[in-house]
Amino acid sequence: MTLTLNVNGKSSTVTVSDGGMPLLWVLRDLLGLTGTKYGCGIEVCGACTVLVDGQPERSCDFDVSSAVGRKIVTIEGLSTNRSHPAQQAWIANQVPQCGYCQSGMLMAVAGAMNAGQHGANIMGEVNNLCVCGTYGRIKSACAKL
Amino acid sequence: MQIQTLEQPSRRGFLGAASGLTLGFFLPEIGRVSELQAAPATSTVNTWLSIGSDETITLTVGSSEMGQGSFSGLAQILAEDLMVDYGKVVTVQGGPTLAAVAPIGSAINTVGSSVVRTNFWKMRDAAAGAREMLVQAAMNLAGDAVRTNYSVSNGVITHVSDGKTWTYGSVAAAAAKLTPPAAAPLVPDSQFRLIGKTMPRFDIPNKVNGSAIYGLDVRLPNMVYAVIRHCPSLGGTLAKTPTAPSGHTVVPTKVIPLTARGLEAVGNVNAVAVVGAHTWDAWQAARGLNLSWTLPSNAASLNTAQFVADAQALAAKATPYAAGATNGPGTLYTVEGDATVASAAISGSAKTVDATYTLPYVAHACMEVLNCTVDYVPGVKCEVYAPTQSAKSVLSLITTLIPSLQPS
Repeated sequence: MTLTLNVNGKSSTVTVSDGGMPLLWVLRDLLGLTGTKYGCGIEVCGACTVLVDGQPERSCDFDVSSAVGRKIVTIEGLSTNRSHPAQQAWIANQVPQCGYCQSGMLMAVAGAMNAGQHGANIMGEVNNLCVCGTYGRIKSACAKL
Repeated sequence: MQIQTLEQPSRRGFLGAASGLTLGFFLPEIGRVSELQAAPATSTVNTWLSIGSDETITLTVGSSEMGQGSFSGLAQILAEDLMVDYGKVVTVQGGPTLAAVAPIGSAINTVGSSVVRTNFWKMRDAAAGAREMLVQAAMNLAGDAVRTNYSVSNGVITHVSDGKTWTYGSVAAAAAKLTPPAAAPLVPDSQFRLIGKTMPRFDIPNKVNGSAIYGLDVRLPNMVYAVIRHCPSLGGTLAKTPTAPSGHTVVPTKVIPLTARGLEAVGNVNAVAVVGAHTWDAWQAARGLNLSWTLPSNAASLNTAQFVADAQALAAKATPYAAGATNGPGTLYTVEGDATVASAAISGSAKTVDATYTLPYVAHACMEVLNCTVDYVPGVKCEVYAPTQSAKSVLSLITTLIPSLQPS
């Protein structure tokens, strides 16, 4: 089946054999948006987090057919020039180490900000995992958001 | 970046190239902490500093940057004694090599948190040597032999009284023809601009917008994707090669029996790889396979409780580690000192405490999901893209598996 998706403000057409194909693999393998990462595949780690109509979703278990007609934003679309306040805070606080989880982390933070959270309350909305253990710097970065 | 056609390193491992200054030096390969004291052979080169006529400063390093900050740290150290802006240094990942005398920044094993702490002085010496060669080149152009007439700041050499200046790039080609100094002076601690300071890491910006390319993000033309299903038990084998599932029209789906690696399963086919047009396609096909395995005779006892019982039994009777001995499987590594003395001390004590501690059988888990991408043209090339801190080991494995191909 052919589906039309709105990804990062642009209309994209993809052909899939199964509407149950997770959005993650459509983004990564069909649209070439590799900034969104595969971590656990069972909605636990959050490396695959994207925004769907402004809300954070684990794309590894989000049917692509459910994304039709909704606004999908990936890390590549969070800003064009690293200007989103969370990206700026991440640079200022030198948050990433290996960085593999940070796309999802940033999208989860952006989603919490969309929901009206600020400062320390953002972390209450984010349960993504970071194997490097950058939580201390994430906390510092979120403090001023 | 200038030409890096390199020959056997010249005196002290330094080397000049035609259109700029290229210095080769050695950063030791650290396998374990006990090797830290080993002196490197001066004829071996795996790290390169290049200063181009276009003012570029490139540091090619064989170690892997995995977010630990090694590249930025090395650049920081280099920039201090080279007397350039930290931001001017471009760091490049070197490729692997099996050669004893390594060309351009050989990729080595990156372990033991050792890249910065073992390379601090070598990086400083190399930078200071390069700086003095560049200054000497400027002095030669000026026909002046008095070093104290010159100062250096941010990659610009200045004659302190007449104000004439030379950029590093403008004298790089001339400097390449000079003999490296035996012991160039280092920047005094009191004048440090960078060492000991917290500097922004080079790799951070690309990790906040999704542009950093990880192993899983490598995309090559016409590539296909594969997922692997393993035998549920170590030592088990594939009983029957399954039929490839149909319905995958973009790329024919194949099922490839895989030969196991590891001492316990040499020669066994203990997994299948399913190839598809994309990850999900291959994944679905793999999940749908009805696989038949021949399990090992001890499959029923391959469980955590049995592992703990086996370990405790071994601990009670195993041969203690002995320096210089074979120390094969089942060696007891925790015995220190004289066991008879310990036994005597225990039996002579008024009070003894007996406790058993066990640790789970955990994986040394990688940060990124295990993966690799291979561009293999039989008889022509085998290029591997992998998230690894042991590029040299990967290269070694490939040359073992495909003897007809040797590193380029």
